[in-house]
Amino acid sequence: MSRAEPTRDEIREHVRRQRRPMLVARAAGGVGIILGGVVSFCLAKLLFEPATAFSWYTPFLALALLQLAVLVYLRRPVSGLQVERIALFDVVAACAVISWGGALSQRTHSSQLFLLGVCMSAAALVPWGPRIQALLAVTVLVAVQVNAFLVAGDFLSALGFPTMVPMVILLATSIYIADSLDRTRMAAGKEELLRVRAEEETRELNKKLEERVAERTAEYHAVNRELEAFTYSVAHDLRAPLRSMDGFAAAVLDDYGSALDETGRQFLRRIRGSAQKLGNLIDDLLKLAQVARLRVERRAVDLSAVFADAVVKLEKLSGDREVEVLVGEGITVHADASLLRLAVENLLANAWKFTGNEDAPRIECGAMEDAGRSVYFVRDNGVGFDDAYAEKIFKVFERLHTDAQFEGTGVGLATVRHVVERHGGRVWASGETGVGAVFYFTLDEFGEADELDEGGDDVEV
Amino acid sequence: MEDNVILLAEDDPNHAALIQRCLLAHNPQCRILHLSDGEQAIAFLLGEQGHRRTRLLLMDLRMPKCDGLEVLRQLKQQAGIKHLPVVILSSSAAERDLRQAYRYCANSYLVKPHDLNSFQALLSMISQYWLESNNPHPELSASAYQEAL
Repeated sequence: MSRAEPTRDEIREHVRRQRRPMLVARAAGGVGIILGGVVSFCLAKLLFEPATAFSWYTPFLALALLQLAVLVYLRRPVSGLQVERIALFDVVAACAVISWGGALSQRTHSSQLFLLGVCMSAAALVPWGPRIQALLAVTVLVAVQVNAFLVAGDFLSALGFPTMVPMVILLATSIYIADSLDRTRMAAGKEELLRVRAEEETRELNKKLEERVAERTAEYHAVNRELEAFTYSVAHDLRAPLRSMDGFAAAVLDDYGSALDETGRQFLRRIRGSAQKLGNLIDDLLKLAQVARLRVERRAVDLSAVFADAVVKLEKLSGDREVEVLVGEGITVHADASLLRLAVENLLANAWKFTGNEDAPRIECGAMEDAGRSVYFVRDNGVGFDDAYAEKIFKVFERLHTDAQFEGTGVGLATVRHVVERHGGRVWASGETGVGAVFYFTLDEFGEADELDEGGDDVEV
Repeated sequence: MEDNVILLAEDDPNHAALIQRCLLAHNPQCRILHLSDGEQAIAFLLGEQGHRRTRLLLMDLRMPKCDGLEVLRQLKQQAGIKHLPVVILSSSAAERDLRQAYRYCANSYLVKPHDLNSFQALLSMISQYWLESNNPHPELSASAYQEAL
């Protein structure tokens, strides 16, 4: 984004708004004018009366050189604060020099002027507030002006020069100094204005960014709500006809089963089986969607108990199967209880399923330490799998077996992966065909991966 | 006019047929009145004889015109009818639906099972609990109590 250069008027307006630097700089400008006069006067004295040049006006000469140095310095851009300091220095120096000069010039009112100069010099050194400092500067200016013109008048007459020459020089150098001061002020003002504008722009951009973030968040929540509505209707509208299909097929079997031959009844059973299978698939997909949507609410969870509960559940579902299950004792994790339960149930159901053809099925679950982190595992001695597919099995709908071999929807392990990832963990597996499989997972290995959701759930009722 | 009716508010005609079948299989004598949306259910229950004749309202949550929650809200505000047991039979297992239904004072919230056998078992249970466990009609018992006073 390119920013337009501020115009001269804008800068002047900005400088004007900065009251304090303006007052002091103006005072400094005035001092510059007077000093310009002094410089020209000293130069004239050196040129036309070198014999007495190094007498009482020597301080004027020193000051003139100093002023030149200041002038050179002013040509470089300086900040507002520097302008103030230079101006203050000029005021103090001018006071001192004019006082000496006045005293040395033996004029009648020289002692009063000397006193005034010393007082002013001392006063100007005190760090007053900006208003008093500005007032002092102006007062000193007036005093210096009066003294300078008195001294200058003396010399003008003594030299017999046309009054115009030193006046013109005085005017020219004064204008030059005033102008350079003004330029310095303008440069500082421009710098300041650019900074202020940049700040304003940053503020504006921040505001816009915040607005956009709020907008996006709202959009995200809207999408989230839409998604929720979508999963809701998937649950409702897709499952409703399935329920009818299964229900009426069952009704035909019950009421008219005797009127059909075995093949007919078999067909109806197949309809029921398919309807139920699709129902399970929808259920699993909904659970998977839920994992992505729900907030991870962590607390201490007894993982051993979760393992044991899942085993009890499986035993109930397949009453006659004898499976030896070993569960490691006293494993506690910091996790979302319901999500963890979902993952563990899926892992165990998996192990349970794939040990179905074993003579002595055995499932072992527990925890171990590996490289300073806790790794939880579920090991079985089932059919196992080729290690080449170790990555693939965690993807949705990826299956290594046909339904005839082992039933499944291909969603379970994907759900496990989602749960574990939402806990900032990792899940992996290793297996060997015919020997068995081990599923490992960690929790909290990486940061929690659900910052996006943090705000989301607060909005919901 | 029949009394002791089970009022069934269900927009899906297939589900309604299955529910009726299950209820009748459990108790062939039970009388079921099927209405296909919430508006009709309210109209019936707030009508002349409606609430006196009804023992139980079995209701789906998602219905056209007037959904189950709205029916619940209206019924549970009416003095004469608020004791009528309402059992929600929904396809949704969403926690939010369940909470809302109970917030509106549903007596029970049940998720429709997938297969007919479980459906049958569930409806037998509902029927047993709400109709046969010798519960006096809440409305009648309330008026009887008042008469006794």
